[in-house]
Amino acid sequence: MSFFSALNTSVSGMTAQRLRVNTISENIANAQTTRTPEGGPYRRREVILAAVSNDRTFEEELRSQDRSLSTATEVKVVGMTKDSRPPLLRYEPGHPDANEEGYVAMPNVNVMEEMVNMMMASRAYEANSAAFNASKKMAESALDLGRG
Amino acid sequence: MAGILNSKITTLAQKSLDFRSKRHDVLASNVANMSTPGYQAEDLVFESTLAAAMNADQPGPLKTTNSRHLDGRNTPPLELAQAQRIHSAAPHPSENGNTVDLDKEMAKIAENQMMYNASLRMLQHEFRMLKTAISEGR
Repeated sequence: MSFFSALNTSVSGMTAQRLRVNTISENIANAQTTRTPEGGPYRRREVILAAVSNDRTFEEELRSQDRSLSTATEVKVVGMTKDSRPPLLRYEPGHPDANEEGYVAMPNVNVMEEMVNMMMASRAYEANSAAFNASKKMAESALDLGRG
Repeated sequence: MAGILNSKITTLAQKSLDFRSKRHDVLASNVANMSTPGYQAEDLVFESTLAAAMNADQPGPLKTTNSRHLDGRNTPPLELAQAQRIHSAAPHPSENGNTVDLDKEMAKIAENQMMYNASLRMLQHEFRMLKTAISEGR
């Protein structure tokens, strides 16, 4: 069903962007964290997005009435990576986690970068919700055709 | 050929609604994948195909003396018209290879939605006329 696939596509975009915002808030919240369970300072996290076309199998394709196009391509969060940039060293000899030279390894989180990413994710979320509303309105007006 | 319930207008409106909803699928996919690295923006084009198919029952340039002769016209009739899927790349893709231009996609969604409503209204009008005829204008 075409309309529901458009709705699902927009929903997949909203889910992905929401997860992105969650990860960004996690990064900002941990911008000063110097201790983690795996040792060392917190490392910046990022989601990996991939385009997943909901392609049909050969059999489904063969049985389907409409074999011209499978149109919708959803987005999926396929994983989470840790940023490989080195931790930032800050000179703070009194800090309990400082090394012999007095430097503390701070997380490789740049708060400005996170803010920019957060704004982008929130705009992308809005765009997906607008596309969702457009699909909904189209489906509703198609339903009205059967009335009267 | 063109009966009361399958007139050319009805078929055209039906085909147009079909294409518009498929195009909406494609555009919604572009918006959903606006931050996916390497994703290529796509679009469906069908206006020229539909326009050509509208005239598909006109005779072609070759003269035919037998019903099995080909008349040199190869446009498919309206019922079989297909949309083409194209890459609608933005002129300046972002550094991660993504070619989605959000403003353009939102404008296309709005335009597509309006055209969808127009086709729907055309169909509604056609049905209303039929209803008037059936109820003898009452």
